[in-house]
Amino acid sequence: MDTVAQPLDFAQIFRAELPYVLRSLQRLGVSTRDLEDVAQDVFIHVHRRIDEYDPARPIRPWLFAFCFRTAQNHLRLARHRERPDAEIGHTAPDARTPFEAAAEQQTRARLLSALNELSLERKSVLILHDIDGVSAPDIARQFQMPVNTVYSRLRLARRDLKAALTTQEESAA
Amino acid sequence: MNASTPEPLDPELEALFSAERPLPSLKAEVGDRLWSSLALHRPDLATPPLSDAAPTEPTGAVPDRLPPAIAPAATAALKLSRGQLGALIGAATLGGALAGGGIDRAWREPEVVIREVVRYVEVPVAAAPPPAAVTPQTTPPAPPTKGRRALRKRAARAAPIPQAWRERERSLIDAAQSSFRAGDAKKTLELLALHRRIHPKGQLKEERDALRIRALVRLGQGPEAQRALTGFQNRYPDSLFLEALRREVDRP
Repeated sequence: MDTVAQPLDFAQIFRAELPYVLRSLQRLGVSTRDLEDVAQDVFIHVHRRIDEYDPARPIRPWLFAFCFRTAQNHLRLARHRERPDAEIGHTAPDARTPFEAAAEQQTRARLLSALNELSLERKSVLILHDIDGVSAPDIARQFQMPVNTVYSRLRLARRDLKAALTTQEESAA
Repeated sequence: MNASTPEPLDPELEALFSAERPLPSLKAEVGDRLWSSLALHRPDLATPPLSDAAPTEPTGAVPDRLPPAIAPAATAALKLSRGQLGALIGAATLGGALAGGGIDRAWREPEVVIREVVRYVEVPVAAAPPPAAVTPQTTPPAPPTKGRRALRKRAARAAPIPQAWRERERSLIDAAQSSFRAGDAKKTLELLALHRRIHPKGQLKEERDALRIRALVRLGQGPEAQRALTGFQNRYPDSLFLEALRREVDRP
């Protein structure tokens, strides 16, 4: 798990974790069009509450909690609940061939579209545990819920995700 | 199944998650643009975050927002080592404290750099009322009631802006920002016009004008946005928002 070196500095967090915040918001269902505005909100809240961060803990679950709450507020409006795009849109050019890039984008689109079918609470646990690699006790501590609730949500989220992927395949066939 | 342990991950899901885990590297301008937007809300975020140099390292450059009178002194100060600077500030403070006795002249002699730093540190001392013996009263004192009234007027003029008023101004800009983020550019413009009426020379007028340009762009009023941008450039040539606004207006 990545952590930001001490002393903790807002600019340093912003610089190191902006891609993570953008990706997390996208996974939570924020559309590409609104990503930057919502990320701005996230960092405003982070800036306000930076003193509350415990440097002994990994930074990403802490940041994810901000992403979760901001995305939750944002997605309350129906017009914000569109299908998220697979591309952030502002990524720097890399060494991939166009074919590899297109294949990866297709895989991402499939995952994001399936994630969009899940409830935000279940989706959050799944993203933190299975994609970001945060342990269940850390998730429980961050979201102030029992560890068993984390496991339960994780199991249900995986089941829902699998079902959504199956539905996608069936409708494509 | 035991609720306290996670199930093993399905291979299909594992493959999808593995593809999702690597984070993309973003273009530097994305970070710069976002930082500029953040600075709209938090004026204390002045240091650029995504430049090549590490943000926590002192760069030796004077921030754009320093008043011109202070900038040369700050430049000189940044060129000095920490020990030299400490000694200079100590000397300058002592020199300022002794200014009334005429001893400060001895501290001003050494060299240009020191003189500049001394001038910067001395600003509050110079503003203090001079001793009665040095500036004799040449005009007769005003009648007590008139003098009191004049004093009250002067005090009212010099009084700092009340916190509540500043908060009110900030909340208006915040509301405009929120409606902009919610996609309601029309309402944003209304709120900004209200801000302009209530706080024509408010502390957040730069933020207001920048946001107005963004709202105009979102409403598709390109020529109006361009005109507003030209005015903005003239009023705030060193603004942190300028680069992001130019990009936004020029975006097809």
